[in-house]
Amino acid sequence: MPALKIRPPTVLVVEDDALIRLVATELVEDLGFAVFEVPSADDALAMLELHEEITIVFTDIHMPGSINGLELASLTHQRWPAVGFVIVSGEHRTEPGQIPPGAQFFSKPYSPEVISATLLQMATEAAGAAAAAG
Amino acid sequence: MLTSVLAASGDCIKILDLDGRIQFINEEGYKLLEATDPMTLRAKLWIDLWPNEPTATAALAAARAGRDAHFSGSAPTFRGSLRQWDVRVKPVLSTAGVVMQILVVSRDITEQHRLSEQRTLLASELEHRIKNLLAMVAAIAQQTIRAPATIKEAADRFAARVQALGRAQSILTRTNWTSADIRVVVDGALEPLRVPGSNVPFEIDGPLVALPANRALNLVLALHELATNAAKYGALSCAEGRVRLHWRTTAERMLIFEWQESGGPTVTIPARTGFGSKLLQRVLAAEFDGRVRIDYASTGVTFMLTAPLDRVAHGATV
Repeated sequence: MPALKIRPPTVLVVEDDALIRLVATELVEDLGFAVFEVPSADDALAMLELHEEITIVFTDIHMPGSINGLELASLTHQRWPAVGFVIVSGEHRTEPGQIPPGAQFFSKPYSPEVISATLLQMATEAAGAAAAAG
Repeated sequence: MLTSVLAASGDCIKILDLDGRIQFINEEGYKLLEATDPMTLRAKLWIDLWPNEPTATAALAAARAGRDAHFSGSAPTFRGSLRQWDVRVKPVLSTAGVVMQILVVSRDITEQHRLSEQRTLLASELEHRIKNLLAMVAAIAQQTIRAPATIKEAADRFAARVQALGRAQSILTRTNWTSADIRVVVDGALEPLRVPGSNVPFEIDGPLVALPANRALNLVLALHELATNAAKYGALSCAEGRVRLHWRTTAERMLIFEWQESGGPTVTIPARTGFGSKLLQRVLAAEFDGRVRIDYASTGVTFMLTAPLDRVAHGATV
């Protein structure tokens, strides 16, 4: 029997601007994580339904579609409370209570280094929680 | 004398009794309120003119108590149009210092209010655009340093890409950031490479097609990458080389856009995938909801974008 392989954390990148999405996706890939990318919060919800392995959502706020990134975060938190959130935006100031507990907010343009460190830390915490639960 | 002073004022001037009933209103005043005549307002409670403005009650109480009050708020006219008012409420005192009546001077500031709201909106829209632009510049910087190059080469490539972004901004500023004609986008993108006063070395041909802002911007960046590559290895690296840019729309409402090089050195398939090809294959294709094909035929590079025309503009603000 082959040894069980530990699955890498899976991140969903949600960003409407394709260039910024490309860079965000590569930032996640460079960490050795698996990644999905979508251009809207609506597509993100559909992706979350399909892929239970998504552990972190890395999302913009202002995007075309029926919901924005903040609404995506609160809907996701209600249905899948274990999913971590990294939220970035150029125009929104977030007030306490607008982002679900445990989510992190950064304003655009963000520091790739800080985002990488945050994703790594979230992935480690998620893995720890999963190990404790299982 | 007093009547003519009141008539000359552009404000709505009212005198109220101590119960807050309107005793007098100047001509300009009832016109501003869109009432048919001053009698419509006679003996009406002033406070009834302010259905949604609790500060009006407080201002009236202050004036009754002998103090000046000032507030701004919105109230509908008799025809129901909502106006913004700057209102001064003052007690009219007897020689003995007793409050006899109340003077109300209301200035219609609807227009100033609208302009100021518009300014606030523009400022926040501008901030959003600047932040997004900076995010794009950061993205371009990160992509540029991924390619193997000396610091000098990377710096030059980065500067050229930022210049392309700048040209895209100028095109979109001219059209108020809504959309831009594809011809204007193509001309703007290729401008630094053209022989002044002519199209050479380009051959440009296609119908009017309005592109939403995000697509126009990404097409400028894409054409910059194609042109840079052609100047280094392709048709733009020698005097005989030509590039044909051609686009058309089909009956199925598709846009087919082609960049076709000829007359350059023999083409070899690039060994690695750089930012240029990622920008074309992933970014441009995604922004246009379309497909991109790059063909490295030995006679010249061909790039083709096929995208639906009638998909409502992505709505993305760039």
